[in-house]
Amino acid sequence: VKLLLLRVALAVQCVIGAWALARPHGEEPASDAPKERLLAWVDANVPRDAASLLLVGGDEPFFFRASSRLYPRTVIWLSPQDERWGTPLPREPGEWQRLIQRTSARFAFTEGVDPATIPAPGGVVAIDAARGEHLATLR
Amino acid sequence: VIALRLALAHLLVLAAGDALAIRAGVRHRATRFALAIALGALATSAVIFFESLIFEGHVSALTVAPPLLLVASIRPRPGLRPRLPGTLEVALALPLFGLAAANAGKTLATELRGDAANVWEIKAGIAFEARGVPASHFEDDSRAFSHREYPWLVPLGECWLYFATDVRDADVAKSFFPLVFAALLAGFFGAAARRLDRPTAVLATIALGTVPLLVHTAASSYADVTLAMFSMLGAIHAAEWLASGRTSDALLAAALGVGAAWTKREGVLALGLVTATFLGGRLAGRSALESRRALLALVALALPLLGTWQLVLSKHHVRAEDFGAFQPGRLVPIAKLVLADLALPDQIPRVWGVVWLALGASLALRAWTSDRLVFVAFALVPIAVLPLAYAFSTWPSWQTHVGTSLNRILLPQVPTALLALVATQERRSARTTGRAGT
Repeated sequence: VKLLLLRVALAVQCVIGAWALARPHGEEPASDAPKERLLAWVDANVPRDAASLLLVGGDEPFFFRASSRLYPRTVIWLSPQDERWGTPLPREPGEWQRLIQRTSARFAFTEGVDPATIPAPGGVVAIDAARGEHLATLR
Repeated sequence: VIALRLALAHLLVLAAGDALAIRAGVRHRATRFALAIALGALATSAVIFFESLIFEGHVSALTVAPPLLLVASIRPRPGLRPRLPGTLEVALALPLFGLAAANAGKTLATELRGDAANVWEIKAGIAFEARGVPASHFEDDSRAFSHREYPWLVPLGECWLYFATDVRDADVAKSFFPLVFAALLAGFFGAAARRLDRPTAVLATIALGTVPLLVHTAASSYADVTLAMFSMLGAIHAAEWLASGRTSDALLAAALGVGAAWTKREGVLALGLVTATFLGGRLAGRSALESRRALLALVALALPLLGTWQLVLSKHHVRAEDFGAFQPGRLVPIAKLVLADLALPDQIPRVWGVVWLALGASLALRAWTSDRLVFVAFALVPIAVLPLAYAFSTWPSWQTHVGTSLNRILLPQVPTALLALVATQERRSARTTGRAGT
């Protein structure tokens, strides 16, 4: 009897499992290809010995990906929102100066923030991450 | 060229793990295959980790391959020659090959996202770029999100594939996980076939391989299925040791427990349960000497790797970001959330199938063998203990913490829960199964 019960339970599990797996499992998220292209551009154009890079704007997954993709550079995420892994976005020139001194950052790249407002001493790579387009490099 | 190098890298890991499994006296093909992958991944990650400590910045395929080749060259015990499978065995295994192949296709088609990228692959990439695990990683607060306190089996398993192919590529990293899923099925089948006739053992393995959450998580390249593999194999060999008292079974159970703790922090519970099995061996008829030998084997395997890892963490003052002070007021709501997660009817078709329902019902059956006790403990103790961590959560909303991770911390217990069901059947004798060991 125990073996019969076991076989029934296993068969029910198989049927439910096969049915669940045959159903669509949510929507596939949009491709990250445009963001990957822009990270590849930053990787190719910003020196690897640039100790820190400022990511201005963007979202959390983009920051995680940038931090991974741009190793050995350290990516510091400046977020207009109060994000857990982010640093508050400076609001005035004095704050920018202190941040740049503290992080030794020479370069910045941005999504959704006007690059002219970012005073990185080495240059700012401004990219529309949603479309993966390189907008401007300011020196 | 990359595909060839990748194939050779996997083969070397398998050869090293298989040599260890054969040396431990394992004969059953499915169990051997599962152990080859598990022990191979453990050995590979341990080699890269220790080499990183000794010559950081200079670790490469050329430094990692020789120790693995050395392990792969360990000779089997005399008289342990595998026999070829029969036609019926191959035919019965076909659905399992189908499940493993479907999972491989799904894994390669799924982008690395979430923890798969931000917690596991990122570390593989860093270790590849830095030619070894860099000490600076533990000091870099900008990567705190990647959980620097997490162990390294999965990242270094992926990193070995990067070293071997000399490219950091998501598809290369993802190729690690279909083998883990195949090992999970094979190891489960090996244990089920000890207790069931072959068609029912295949049915049980298909039941495991179609649990919805397990299949989706396996394809997402998260580490949870790797932990499930180590925890399940550890439980199987802890049960084998209870039955045999052999030191080789104790060594396997201990190594697999270490592998669990080296995969995810919650794997420490699997290691703890292996320890508890060794300590409680007397109750199942094991001698004090056998228990002492088993515990010695466990300490000898756990201390070098996990002890060194703890020293690294303490040297760099790395601590868990997600946990802080104990909040006792959350205990009752947490218990309610866990029970709801396991028992709500809408979780059956989408998440767990009937695994927990069937396990709950089977607890009423009076067939309490030592095997079944071990499997029930490996399935239920983590479910009772792990959610308590949410009472220490520092997340702004601890409910969000539960919502994003509860299913994943319960998932590794699914294979042992199904084995607890299977263990309601008596073990078949060696004469019936035609083999002496697992």
